[in-house]
Amino acid sequence: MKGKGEGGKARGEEGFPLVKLVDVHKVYKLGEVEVHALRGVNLEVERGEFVAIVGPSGSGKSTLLNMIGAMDRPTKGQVFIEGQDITKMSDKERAKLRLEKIGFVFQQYHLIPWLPAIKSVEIPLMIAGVPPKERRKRAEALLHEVGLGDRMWHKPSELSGGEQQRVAIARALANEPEILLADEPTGNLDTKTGAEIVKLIRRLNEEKGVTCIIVTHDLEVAAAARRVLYLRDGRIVRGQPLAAKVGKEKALRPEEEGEGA
Amino acid sequence: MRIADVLRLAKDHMVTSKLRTALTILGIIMGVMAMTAILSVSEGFGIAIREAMETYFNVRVIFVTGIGTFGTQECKLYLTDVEYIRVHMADVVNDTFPGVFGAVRVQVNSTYWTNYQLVMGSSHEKGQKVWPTLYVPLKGKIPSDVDKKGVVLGYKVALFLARLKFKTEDPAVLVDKTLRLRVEMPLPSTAVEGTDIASVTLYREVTVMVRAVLKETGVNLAGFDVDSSIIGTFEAVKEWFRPPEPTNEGFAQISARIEWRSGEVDEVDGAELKTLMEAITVDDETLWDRYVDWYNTRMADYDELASIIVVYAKDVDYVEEIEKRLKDYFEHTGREQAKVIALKAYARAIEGVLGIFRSLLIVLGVIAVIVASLGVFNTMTTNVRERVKEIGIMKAIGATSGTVLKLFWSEAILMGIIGSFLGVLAGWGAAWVIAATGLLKGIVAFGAVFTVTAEPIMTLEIAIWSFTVSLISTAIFGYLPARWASKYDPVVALRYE
Repeated sequence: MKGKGEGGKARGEEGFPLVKLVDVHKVYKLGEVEVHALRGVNLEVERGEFVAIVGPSGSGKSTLLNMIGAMDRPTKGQVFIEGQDITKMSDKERAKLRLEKIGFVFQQYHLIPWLPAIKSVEIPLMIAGVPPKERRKRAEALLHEVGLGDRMWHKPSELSGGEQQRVAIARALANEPEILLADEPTGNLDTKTGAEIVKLIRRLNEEKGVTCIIVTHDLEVAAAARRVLYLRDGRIVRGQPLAAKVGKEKALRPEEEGEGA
Repeated sequence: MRIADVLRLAKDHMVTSKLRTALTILGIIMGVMAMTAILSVSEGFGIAIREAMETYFNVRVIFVTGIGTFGTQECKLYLTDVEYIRVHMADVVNDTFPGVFGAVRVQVNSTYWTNYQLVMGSSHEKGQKVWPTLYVPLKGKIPSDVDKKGVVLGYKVALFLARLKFKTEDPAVLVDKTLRLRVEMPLPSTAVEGTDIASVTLYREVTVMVRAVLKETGVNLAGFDVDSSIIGTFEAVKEWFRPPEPTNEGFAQISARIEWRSGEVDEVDGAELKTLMEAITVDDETLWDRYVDWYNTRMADYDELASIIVVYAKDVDYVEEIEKRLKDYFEHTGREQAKVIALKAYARAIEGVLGIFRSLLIVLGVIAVIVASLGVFNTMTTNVRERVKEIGIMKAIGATSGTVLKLFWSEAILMGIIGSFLGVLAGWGAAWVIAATGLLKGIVAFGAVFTVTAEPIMTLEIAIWSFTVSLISTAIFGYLPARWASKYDPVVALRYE
């Protein structure tokens, strides 16, 4: 792997944050117009953290999540996962990283419409080459865990929004990822169902130690996170553990832009 | 991803879009069916023609013919040539024998004679040896070569006479019947030059006995249409055509037809003709004197002449050598016009034509399959367009471009496998139906050389060929959309509406 030499495992996994972004820029070209989605983001996320990224629409939240999730490459800057620079990886290596280390949850659920829940959950296991019996067992266990033990053979069209999002979460967890990336996971759900989904994600974070990064514009949702990053115009303007919000500890001094590094 | 899982997912999606998949597969089935049926028909004709060539068209046979009809050939062939070939080419020639061609009218009743019928004079025994499958009696027995009165009738001429003489459709009734033949010998135009006579045709009537009627062959050997021939022995047929001796006795055997320049026609007997010929004088020479001169010239080598020499090679591999040696021989004896015809060369030419014909059919079949594959291309392109978001999902959860390519490609290949397999079966069925109903069972006339009947034949080779071509074609046309699918950027694909 390309990232190995300079910042890879040779220097030991423990010494590195799970996620580290260094001066990440992203510029989209829409015809003649250049859109600066990210303008130098620095960020570190430790193993086991629950981070919410909030900000107005167009602030670059989803772009940031795509950078962390190895879905997109920055125009400038570096993204490290477990100390490895994933911007230097090949597409194939990045696919492998997504498969093994990252689970995605989307606002639109993004389930494959013609597959029943159980098969949707099995797909990442299929890609990973897990044998049929084992993956069926694992998918069943995951669906039980998200509370869909009795809806396993339903297709997305036969499931409610909340149920679909649970399937998506089960799918994201199939290969036991290090990081769960959720892009507006409650955006299409009513408040009650949304709250349940957030509770589920939080439970996964606390019980399983899955590092969660949620993009949301809903402060209620952000309130579940231990740390909240505010993104505006492609920059992190403020980051704070949300102790104040949950009312347990006094708010820490907000991290200023660029301090994350 | 394991291949089994790739196929499982492909199958799941195909089941989801049943109608589209079914229609695409139906397209492949029809294309492959067309190709399989076309190939089986072409194979059938190929085999029938090859069989016909092997049975009737003995490729070990070489003919030598002169030019012109018997007796008036510019390039004469002699029995001494037959002897020469027999002796000097014994190393490569199994047998050789002469033949003679002519035409006669056959008497139907006291006043009516048929138009000209082809007559062949040749050894029955040797004919049977060289063409054992051709010289097969429908009824009766092939006579021996010493039977001067016996003749064998080809199927068509026998049927023709059966209809006229016996009002029946059964040519076998001719067997053991007596026939009156009228052998016509036109005198050369020089014999009547300078007179009011336009032409004189001598004719002799001979009585023959039909010993056998041959089975229908559909074969025409170097201009010799077996089915339309009356076949006698070489010696007998030559006797029929022997011009009469210029004596009272000689002319007593014949009659004549005189056509005057005025257009009048007279039928006279031999004695009357002789009297007339003695009475007409041109430049102090009677027509009779002219006839005597012509007769003497003609008779100088008449007993030695043949119209055709049949040469039968020891082995088919010697044919080219014999051909060459015969050409050299006739060139050295000043008869380069002699035509040496190897049936093997005919066979080759026919096979060549057949090859082109088959290639064309194969091209048609392949086009049918490509059209079907375009259906696959269309379906897969639509699939990819509709499933862009799925491509994004698959990539987001860790699928590589290769996996996405495999997922889509395998669907095309699965359709190809199912369609090709069913298509081959359908083609097999179609070939069977064509054979059973005789829909395409017909007669192929090959440049009037010979005719065959054929029906489609299905072989494992055709099945494998059709299946493979179709599968490769669908795989190629299915690959392109699958490749486009694999190239989608995951972020773009997920945002796709």
